[in-house]
This record gives sequence, structure tokens and C-alpha cells, in this order.
Amino acid sequence: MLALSPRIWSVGLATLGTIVSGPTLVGCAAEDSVPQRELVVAAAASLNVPFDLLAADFERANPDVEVAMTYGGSSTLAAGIVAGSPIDVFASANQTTMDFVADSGLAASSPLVFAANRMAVALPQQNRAGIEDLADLSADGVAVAMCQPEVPCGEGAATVMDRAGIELVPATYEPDVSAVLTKVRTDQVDAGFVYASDVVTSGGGVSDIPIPPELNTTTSYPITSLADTTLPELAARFVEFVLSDVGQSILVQSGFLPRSQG
Amino acid sequence: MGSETATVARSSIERQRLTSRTTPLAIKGAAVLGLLFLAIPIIGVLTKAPWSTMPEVLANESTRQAIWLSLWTSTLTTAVALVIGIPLAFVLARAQFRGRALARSLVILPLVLPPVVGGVALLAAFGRGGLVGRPLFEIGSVTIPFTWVAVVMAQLFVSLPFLVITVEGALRTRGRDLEEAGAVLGLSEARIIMRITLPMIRPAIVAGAVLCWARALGEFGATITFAGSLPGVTQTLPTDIYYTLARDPGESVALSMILIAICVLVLWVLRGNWAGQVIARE
Repeated sequence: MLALSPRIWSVGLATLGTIVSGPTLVGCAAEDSVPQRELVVAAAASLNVPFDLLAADFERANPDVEVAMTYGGSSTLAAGIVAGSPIDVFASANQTTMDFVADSGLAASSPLVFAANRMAVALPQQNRAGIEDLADLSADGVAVAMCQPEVPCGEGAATVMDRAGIELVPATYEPDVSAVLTKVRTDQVDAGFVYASDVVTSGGGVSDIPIPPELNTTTSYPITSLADTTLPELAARFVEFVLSDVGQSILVQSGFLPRSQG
Repeated sequence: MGSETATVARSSIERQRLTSRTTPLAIKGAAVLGLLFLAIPIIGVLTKAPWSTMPEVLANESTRQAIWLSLWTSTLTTAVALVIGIPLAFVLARAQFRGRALARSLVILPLVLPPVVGGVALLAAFGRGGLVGRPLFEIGSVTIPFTWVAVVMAQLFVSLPFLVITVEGALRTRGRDLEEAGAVLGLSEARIIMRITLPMIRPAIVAGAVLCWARALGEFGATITFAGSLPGVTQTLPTDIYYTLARDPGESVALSMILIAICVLVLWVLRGNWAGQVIARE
């Protein structure tokens, strides 16, 4: 039924050839250096920037180790871990999600708070909707994106609006905070609930309006190595590194609060 | 005449015998493997299905909204696909024009693109800052993303090729004898198309429409990227399944069962209409 022309097939096969041969070449190059151990770290989407830096630093300190980062909504990652995804370290954006993993008996030791974050309202650079405070978000024709209520950033957004006593129907619930940030950066929405760190790490891509401190919430980020890891010692070392002074300064530079404030 | 019929009959029997005798074990083995690969995940969902909580999940307001939204948007998508897809298939199959190869490639492209890329492309074109979206927004203050229109557009982008390619294939392989006879008898072109061509390729149109509808019903990547997700407005059943997976894996399995049941039901109802007729005519 899908009668593709011979030319399409040949292009398709050529592409497939490139894809198949690609990793092989990389594999050969890697064998020339040191045999690699791969540490898989699953982290909340909001940790993307600092954890890429942390992973690079950790690799530099441990040349035989490759850190594979996987980012996503905390609860999506937790669901994956509970379903048996081969992950060595888990960094969550809230305690509830971490508890879900720990209560399933999957945390190697009791999770430790390594950072904290506050909510922020990110605006596209133009701010065409002229948003100045939280009340403006519920105005007619203002499109707001927030995380789905199931993930921590969605919970945080709901708490802020609740405390402000403003009823808000968003234009969309996104699967994680990165998706919200993308919607703001690409000017698809007039505002989006993200973390304070996201505004810092966007590198000027978005601006924000202040949330009064008494309305804002602080989320704590817990981390743990997982019970099923095949590299328990290495996983524990990565957790230690995140909690170390070097790790903490990377997180603070990315707009997070240090663990002492979590 | 009689001996000729007998020869034909005999050779057809021989062919049949030959077919069953010469299907090598290796081919049968591989076929079973292929079938198992498709069946095991479905069986997996069945074993995880929380049958006891199914009524509860079905009674859930957001589930009902998602099912209803998915059903009517995918049906609307199929209707639009029929209206613009059949003419497109006609042109691709029969008209001679420069750039036909390019046009065919464009039709096939969404089939090989990851749906999320389709979503990104739709945003780039129809998003508020997009090629068409910006003037729409700035002049008419019309926003397409986050509306049901965006849901239908995302579905149409990924599912239209299924209809076009199926119908085009049928138009290419069917002989044109009947249509030529119609022309000799003095029928107008419009009548030839309505009375001869369309009835002739009806099974292919039905098959293409079913594929198109099923693809639209299952659409996720382009929808979540372009249309977002808001219960009752843009949150379709697949998006609901994905979001629920994070909150309650059991409920997510229950929702998956509902989607599978809808698809199986439709395929079963249409089985005579589709597979039966296509095979009968080949």
C-alpha cells in the first residue's frame, strides 16, 4: 500500500547506512582511550544546565567514566525508575517524587537535599501582553503556560496562584518545565511558570516579574544513588560531588539556592 | 472451452499446493516472531490492566473529555483529509506536471518525520511568531496553538499521507478501461469520476480513511508540541495517557486499554468493508 518510489528508498537506505555506521565509528575511537564505565543520572528537567556542567566536571575528574544524563519531569523519571529503568542516580525536583522512589525501596540510602529553587514567572522578551504582576496573568487573552499539576513545577505554580487568590486557567499544561520555558522563549505564550533558576540559565532569553516572597514557595531538590545500580561506589561518589563545595557553587551560579536553604 | 476451464482449474490447484508446500520453515518461524513482537506488548497491557478500577477511570470527567475530544477531532481530521486528500491523490496519480516528484515527496515526508518535528514545523509556520501565524496574530489577533484547530491541524499533518498514498496507489493500479468506455458513451468527466472512478476505488478510500483516522486518533508528538495540553480543549487521549503515566501508572494502563478497545472495535466493524473488498477485487 505504501508504494514509495525507488529514489525515496535509496535515499532512505543511505540515511539508514549513515545512522548505523555512525555509532560504530564513535565506538572505535573510544576503544583507543580508556575502557568506559557509564553512569546514568536521571535529573529533573530544571537541572539541565547545572547537571550538564556537573557531569562534565565529574568526567574530567574520572577519565574512565562517562556520565549519561537523562532529563525529564521528575514524576515521569520516577515512574521509569519504579518500572525498572537502568538508572544509577536520581535527582528530583521535589520531596514527594523522591519519597515515591524511596518508599518503593529503590533508594540506596536516604535521599539528601542538594539544592533549592523558587518559582518565577517568565515572560518573552517583548512582553507584548504588558504583564507587570501576578494579577495580569488572569486577564482576558493572556496565554499562560504551566507544568501539568502532577510535576513539581505545576504544583509550585498552583500554590503561588492559590496564595495570591487568583484563579487562572492556563492555555496549556506542559509535561515539564523545559517545555514551559520553550513556549515562553518562542513567544507562543505571554507568560509561563518556571523556576527562578530557569530565568538565570536562559541567558537573557526570557525576563521575569517578581513573585512576592510571602506568596512564593521553595522546593527542595533531593538526590540519591539507587539500590539497583551496578556501580554503587561510583554513584555514591557522584552524589558526594553534587553536595561538595564545587558542586554547590555550580548550582548557585545556575540560579539555584544552596542546600543549606533547602 | 471446457478443457480450457479444466486447465485453469488444475493449474490453480497446483499453484495452491505449491504455495503450501514451499513455505519454508525459516519463513514461518520469522513470521511467528513478527506476530509475537506485535502481540506481546498488547498482551502485556492486558496483564497490567486494573480491571477493578476501570469503571472509576471511565467515570472520570477528564477521561471522558479526553475520549470525546480524541474521537471528534480525529473524525473531523478524516473528513478534511477526504475532501483535500482524494483530489490530491487524483492529481498525483494522473496529472502530468513539473514538480510532481517533489509533490509526492512532500506527501510522503510526514510519514518518515518524527511527529514532534511536525509539531515544531507547525509552530514555525502557524505559531504566534510563525510565518503565517505572526500576521494572523498581529492583524487578526488570531492564535492557533492551544485551540482545537491546532489539534486537528497536527493530526491532519501526520495522517493525510496515509489517505493520499492509499488512494493514489489504487488509482495507479486500476485499469482505465471502464472510464474510457464511459467517455465513449459520452459521459461528462464529472460523471465519469463520480459514477465510475470513485466507486471503483471505494475500498482504497475506505482503507485510507481508516488508516488516516487511526493515525489521527493516536497522534501525540505533533499535538503536544503544537496544540499543548489543556483538559477539555486540547488534551487528547494519548496526551492524557502520557500525563497520567507520571501520576498513576495503573490509570495510564486503563486509559491505554480504552484506546486499544476503540481501535479494535473500529477495525472489526469495518473488516468486511475494508480487507474483504480489497482482497475480493485483487
